[in-house]
Amino acid sequence: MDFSAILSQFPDLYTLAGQFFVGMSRAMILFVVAAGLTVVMGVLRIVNFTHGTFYMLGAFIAFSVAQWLGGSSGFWLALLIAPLIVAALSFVVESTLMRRIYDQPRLMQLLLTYALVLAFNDLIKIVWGVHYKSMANPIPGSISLGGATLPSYNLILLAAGPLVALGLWFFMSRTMMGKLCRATATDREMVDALGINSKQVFASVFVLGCYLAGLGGTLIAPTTNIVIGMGMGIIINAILVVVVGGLGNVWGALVVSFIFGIGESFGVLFAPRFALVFPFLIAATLLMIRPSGLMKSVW
Amino acid sequence: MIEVKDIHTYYGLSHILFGVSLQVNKEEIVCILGRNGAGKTTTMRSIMGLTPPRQGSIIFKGEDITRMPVYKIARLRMGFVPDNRRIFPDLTVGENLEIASKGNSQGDGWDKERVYRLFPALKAIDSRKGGFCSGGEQQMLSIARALMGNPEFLLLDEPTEGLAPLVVRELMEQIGRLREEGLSILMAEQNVKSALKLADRVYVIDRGQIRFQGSVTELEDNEEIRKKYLLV
Repeated sequence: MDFSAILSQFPDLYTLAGQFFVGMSRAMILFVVAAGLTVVMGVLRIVNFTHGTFYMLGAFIAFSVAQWLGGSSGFWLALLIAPLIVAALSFVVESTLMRRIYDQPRLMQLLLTYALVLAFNDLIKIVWGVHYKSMANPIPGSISLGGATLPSYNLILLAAGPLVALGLWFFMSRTMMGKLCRATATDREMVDALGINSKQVFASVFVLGCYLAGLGGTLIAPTTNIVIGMGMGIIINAILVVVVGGLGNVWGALVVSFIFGIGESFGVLFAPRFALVFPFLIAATLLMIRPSGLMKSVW
Repeated sequence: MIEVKDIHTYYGLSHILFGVSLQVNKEEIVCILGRNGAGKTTTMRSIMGLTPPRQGSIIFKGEDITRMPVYKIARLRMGFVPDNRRIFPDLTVGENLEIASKGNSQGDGWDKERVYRLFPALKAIDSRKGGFCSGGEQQMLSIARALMGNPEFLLLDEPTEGLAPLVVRELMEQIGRLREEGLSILMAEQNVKSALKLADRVYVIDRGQIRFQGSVTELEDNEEIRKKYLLV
């Protein structure tokens, strides 16, 4: 019996492969956002609900930058510029508001970051209006991967995840700033006692995290409707990824994003009515097995 | 080098230091002796700016540092070796030293190589995570890390705590060598015997107040003070 004969008995195989790649692409977006969140939560030890808002801002700003520049190159420039604008905004937010709550009780932190979510939602309504926006796909068409058809743009998403993971690994393990981040995550006071201004380390980490949120928002922009509230959707999943992966652990975030992406895409195939529940089911199961997260948490 | 004038320090509502005054001169090793909870660590933390005093003042090299941020005090070339060592557990021995050199680039003095010459045992474990080092290794690393900032003045909080006698002797020799290199040191100790071998002058602290100050021989002659506050 030859191979194609076996394949013909499983007509779903191409669909499965297609689902797998789509799931992976979504997992990569989730990872880019969750990686930023895990770094912020790991070093600053705040539960930052505003992270999803910076993701949403990334998408809206990407839309405007691409529209302003026009043409097919619009998106690529937006990919460069939009996350930087988000990072600049986050710098303002950090230096005016965030730095006042690091030593406050967690409830106060939630209050501020949630208040910022609401405030930014209204700000977006003022700037962009209440109707959804959509962007042209910068690489239309589709390609064939292992027999499965996949939108060409998803290749960008599939590449973005590993690139961000590698970049973060290099930053954390090889650069002075990364080493300072790891030191500050475990003992802020001692970092100060070495003559290093830990406030600056905090600010840098916050801006880096928000840059990644903005990058995630920019990457998702061409594939979806850009709407107010899209930040809330991702922040819940991102927080789950961060907690299940181990707070502050980038590799944990990567692994759990994979699990979520694949679980969701196959889940949709087999039990579409329960699609929304899958991330929570997966998170609950993993947390029952390892309550402190899959990998080492810095908290 | 440093002059602490009548400081009162609190942790929240509890009053810990009641008017502590002390002084360390250039190239001097001064010991604060006292029992657990006497106020040694709080004195150290007050000087470093980690728990700033509410009253009184601290003058370092002619500058008032009483309410200065911690990192600025450190940059005036003050080194801090805390009592629980506080090595960064996720960083390797080498990385612990590298980030410490970031804080203070002025002064030629100490680099990794020179620190490893003083503590050869650290060189062999350069790539080991700080959290996996033994107590003695962590203590050496904590001192080495403070040296990387090229301090002129070093705060050593109970450096011999929990170390084997042989390690204590070696550590004390190395601390003595630091004085020869021109450092001034304020050392808090419970281990009176080893501390007195090294010290130029001594303060005895109890319940947040200085009860005695003088030379080592003066303390050795004063049995009453030793019985009352040091139990030796």
